[in-house]
Amino acid sequence: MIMIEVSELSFYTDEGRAIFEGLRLRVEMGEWLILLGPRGSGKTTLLKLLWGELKPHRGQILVDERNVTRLSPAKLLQLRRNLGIVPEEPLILSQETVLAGLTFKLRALGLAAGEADRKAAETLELLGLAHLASRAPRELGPVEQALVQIALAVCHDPILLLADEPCRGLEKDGVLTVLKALDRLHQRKRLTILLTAEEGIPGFGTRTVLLKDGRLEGTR
Amino acid sequence: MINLLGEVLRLLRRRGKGSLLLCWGLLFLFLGLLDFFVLTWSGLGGGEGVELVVLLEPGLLPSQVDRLYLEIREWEEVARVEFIFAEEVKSERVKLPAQVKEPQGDLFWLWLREPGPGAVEAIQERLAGLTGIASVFAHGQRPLTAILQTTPGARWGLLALLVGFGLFVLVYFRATFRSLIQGWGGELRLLHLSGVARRTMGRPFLLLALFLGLSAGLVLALGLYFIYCWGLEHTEALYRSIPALLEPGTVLVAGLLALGAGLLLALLGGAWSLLVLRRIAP
Repeated sequence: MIMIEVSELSFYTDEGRAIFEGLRLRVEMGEWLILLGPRGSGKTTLLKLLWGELKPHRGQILVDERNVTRLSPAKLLQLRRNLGIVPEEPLILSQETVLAGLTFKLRALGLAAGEADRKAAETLELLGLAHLASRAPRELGPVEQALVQIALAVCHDPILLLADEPCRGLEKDGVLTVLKALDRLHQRKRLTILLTAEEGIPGFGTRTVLLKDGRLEGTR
Repeated sequence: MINLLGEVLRLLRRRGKGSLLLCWGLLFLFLGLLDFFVLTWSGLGGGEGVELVVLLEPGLLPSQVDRLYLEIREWEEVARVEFIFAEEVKSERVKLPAQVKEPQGDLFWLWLREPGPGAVEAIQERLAGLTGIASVFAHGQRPLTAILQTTPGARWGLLALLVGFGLFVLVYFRATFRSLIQGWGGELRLLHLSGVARRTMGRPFLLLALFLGLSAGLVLALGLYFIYCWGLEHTEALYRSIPALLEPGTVLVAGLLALGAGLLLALLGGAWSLLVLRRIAP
């Protein structure tokens, strides 16, 4: 089954420069795709198009068999409730603890307090963050911060994780820690993952593609 | 579903309390100024404010005093009449103008309605001609609002101050709420990415703004009501400042105006500040 299908996608900047022209991409359900590309290649733009924050000038984007480009605002919000999103800019919450941040999101999505607490604790456990539950989000180190961003994205059990450079700025050890956590998520939850990065990460992901000059170049 | 308003209030406990209180204070001040403007130019300024102190002969029968009171009250030139016991003057509950010596009997205090030239003297003569009246004194202290009404440029000056201050309050309101929303930017972005509508995210901030507007208006309306009640006991003092506060209908209108203006200003300021959500949750 196909989770993401992008066909003939074109997107231009306000100045008319083409970011994509006729882009095609297909991600199967349960796949972990790593999308590589240098800075400015359009990785963030592609992810924003996938979660509907940007509208393409041409082409079609299907996510979980729904045409993102034609969804009404209400339906788009409904779709986003099934996605886990790690944005490029980390979300710095003013909640007092990491656990409170996660339960805040879960309760906003309609879960009862008890269930939200249970699910949040479960997610932290899975990502190896249980010891940080009562720490303030602002006191965390970069690797812990990156893992918390992922926890925030997946705590509600989404069907697809869209992670925009979650390892940016981390040392090699930190990158490995984050990727191992994602690997655990992928295996245990059978989560479809689309992760973007600037550099290749051997040994992780089921497929890697390179985004360059608005085109996907080969599969490694 | 989580109570977003509760979450915003929890955030307020940690920061932003001070600026929100200041916001409330400024709004209250503006509404007070607005009501003062309305009450000053409500047509109940007390006219020219000439007052007459009418000393009654000692030993008048209550029926005679009643008759005099009812007669004088019907005169077109008379805006208000008050009956004052001699004991009230002796016990210094009522202070008489310096030129009036301690009265032997009870007295009437009259407020005249915009008397023309020579009219005061004519009324004085007419009063002196009535049986039971010992003497009449004119007293020219004018109410504050009457002074303002006849001061050139006062109306426009106060109106300009009112508009300028109103704009300042609106801008400050917007800035306070904008900073509050931005302080919660991480949570709002998280909600946006999780499929929560922008409308839902903005609602707690708008409710908070409306609460500020409503409470400021309500406190002022209650304040006006208490001044009115106090004024029933201290007519003279109130008459000398804002006579319109002696009229229950005017007090009610001023109270409702404070409520309406408070809500409107809060709604405008709140809605204006919510525009920042377009950037946080595009």
